Amino acid sequence: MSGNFFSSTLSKAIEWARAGSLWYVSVGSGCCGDEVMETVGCRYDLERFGCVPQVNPEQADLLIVSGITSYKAAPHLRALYDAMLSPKYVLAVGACASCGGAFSPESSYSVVAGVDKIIPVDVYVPGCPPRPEAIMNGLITLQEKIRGYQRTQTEA
Amino acid sequence: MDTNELKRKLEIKGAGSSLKQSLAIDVGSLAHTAQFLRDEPNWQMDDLENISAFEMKGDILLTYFLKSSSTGKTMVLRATVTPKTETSEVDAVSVSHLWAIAIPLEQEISELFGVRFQGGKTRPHQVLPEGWRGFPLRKSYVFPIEFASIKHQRHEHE
Ligand code: SF4
Repeated sequence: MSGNFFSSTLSKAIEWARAGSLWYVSVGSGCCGDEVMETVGCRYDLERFGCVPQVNPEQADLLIVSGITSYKAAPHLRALYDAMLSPKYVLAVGACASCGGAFSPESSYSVVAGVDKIIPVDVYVPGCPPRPEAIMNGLITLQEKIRGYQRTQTEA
Repeated sequence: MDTNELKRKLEIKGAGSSLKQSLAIDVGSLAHTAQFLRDEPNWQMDDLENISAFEMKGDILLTYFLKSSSTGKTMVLRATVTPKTETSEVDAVSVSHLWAIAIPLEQEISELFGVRFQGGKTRPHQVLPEGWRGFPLRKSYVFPIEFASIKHQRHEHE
């Protein structure tokens, strides 16, 4: 067995395990937080994707950010992200987390125009608010990204 | 037509009895008037429901909504302060020694409108983050280009 063959197979196994056990911390500072809770709850049951809620960022692989992030909250969100151990992923749920949404730079002086201005985001889930199905779709997209799969592109 | 007659007519027209006593007062006499209304046995305004502020034509209008829990009477006090320039702070008097609930209300108004409540308990940067410049609810306020190295606009070219 060559070293190369061994390491690539092992990394595949690690990616498979990583994608299937995304333990997360959730930051909900807006109405989208309710949809995230709904997704976690018994009806949609996020745990069947291997997602377990965590309170300690050091034990989490995924940061789910939903809702508005103000300039005042920005350093705290950054500190939370920094406290997570690599590899770490970020799911931005809803228009506010993705780009400021209804509190866009034109209409608000205090809201950051998307959390990607503070931390790197892996998957954006659009919607105001997105339905739990959309959040789950975002999570599956993230899992596919971790496993290195690519989705078939649909024609616009 | 006196106030009571107006109130009666409004009630007949189905507008309800929402008519409140309202006093427009000089900001200098605000603390005395408020204390009088709180301690006077006929009024006993022991509850401050809200303080609101808004800017109109360069003036900042402070409105105090008072209520008496024993007599049920309500009253509105209005005082106007005028900043020297569009961006300068302006002084008013605090009523937090009369109603403790005034502390957070004055705090918000002081940071968002730049009103200094003399004798109050306002502290810097309770509502806005540290290092914030300007008073966001003034009409002259210009949105920041960036804050704490975070660009305000989503894209550079905007
Ligand atoms: S995207 Fe819409 S639903 Fe979500 S936090 Fe913003 S305003 Fe609320």
